[in-house]
Amino acid sequence: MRDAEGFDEFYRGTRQRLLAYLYATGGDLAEAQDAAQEAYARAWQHWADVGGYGDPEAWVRTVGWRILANRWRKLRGQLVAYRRHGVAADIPAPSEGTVALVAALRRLPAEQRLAIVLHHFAGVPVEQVAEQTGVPVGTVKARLSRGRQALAALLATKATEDEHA
Amino acid sequence: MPELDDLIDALRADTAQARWDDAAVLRARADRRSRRRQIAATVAAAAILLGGTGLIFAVGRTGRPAPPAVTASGTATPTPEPTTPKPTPTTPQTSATASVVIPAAALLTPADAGPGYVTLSQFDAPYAPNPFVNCGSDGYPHDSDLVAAHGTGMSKPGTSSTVGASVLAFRPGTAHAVMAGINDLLTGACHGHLTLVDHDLGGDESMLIRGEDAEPGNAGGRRIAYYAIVQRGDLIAWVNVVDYANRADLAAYARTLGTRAAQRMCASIRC
Repeated sequence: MRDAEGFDEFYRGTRQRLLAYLYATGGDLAEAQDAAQEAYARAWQHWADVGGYGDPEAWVRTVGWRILANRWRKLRGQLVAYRRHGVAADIPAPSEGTVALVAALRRLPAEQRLAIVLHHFAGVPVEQVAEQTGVPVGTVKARLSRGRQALAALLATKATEDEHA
Repeated sequence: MPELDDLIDALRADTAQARWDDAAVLRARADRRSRRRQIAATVAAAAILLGGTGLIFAVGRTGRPAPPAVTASGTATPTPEPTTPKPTPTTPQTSATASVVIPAAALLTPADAGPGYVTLSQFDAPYAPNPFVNCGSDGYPHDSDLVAAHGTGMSKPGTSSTVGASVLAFRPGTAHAVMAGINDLLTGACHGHLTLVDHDLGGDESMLIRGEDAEPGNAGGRRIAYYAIVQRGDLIAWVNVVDYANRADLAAYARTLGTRAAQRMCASIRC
């Protein structure tokens, strides 16, 4: 028997972090939201098992990321998102800063981006980022440090370009 | 770096405006989908039992898509839209990927990994992490041809050893391209990061790949990983073995698990 109350609490308590993670990873808010909803739907289908895991949030994060990463699924998801949400009526336009940040994130090396979004957007502690990405804690700290430096440089360049424009 | 932190907060604020389905609505939708897929699976099984070749042919003539493929846990695998062109196999299809079923028995178990191992988690996805992420690849080669996957992670409490096992099912005729893609990464972007140490683990094609971090881990040891990958038909058994303890037998252990994983895969699914 699945624990609906436990699932609802999990859904409400973690969905914001999951969406921020998927948005920062993929760069498209509509796609990220659709992938997040799909990941939670699958979590509920398997809640008898997933609810008993030590970290079910890691499960939905992995499933959500896989959904985003699957290109075919991505194309289909755009259609589903379009049918479900319409063009933009349900999703407010992101701020200029968010657009710049997401664009800068996409220019980071993949391993730095993954460390940044897991730690800063999904709120995953450094030790767990290390565990989930299969690298030592020191490596994660280095990736975070280098990633933040690279992001700052990319954002500063963007700001300078905007000023000149 | 306050500006970056401000931007991170701003992104969080943007996502805070997203509208979410009510939890009860989301659960109901998922349950409806599960029921539909159970029915579809039952119908598909009945069709096969009744000598479904003719029935499937008849359904095909109506232009309707085939029912969704179903994993052992009841999760449907995305089925391509009817307009999606499908590769035509050059030989009669012997693979089960057209109606992929990846039962839990197709994966390695803690008993396979050795005494003291326990299951950490199971996914309807390959077991993470992706070894190619350090070489600039966001995903496995030919991710778009993946039609189903099931993965499990295991560890031995009190040790630094972890084992991940996955079974991946690809579109008919594309799994060999996945192996070729991995080989391209090994000789290209991942050269120097990952090393091919063996390619005789059985199956149609196989690889044993070694990776080692340049920096020591918390306990002072370096992280050493082996990836045993065995392809049979449209299926790939993929085993990750990670340890910090510099075990002399780690490569042999990974090779044994890779071979065992392929045997389990083909014993549970027609390869």
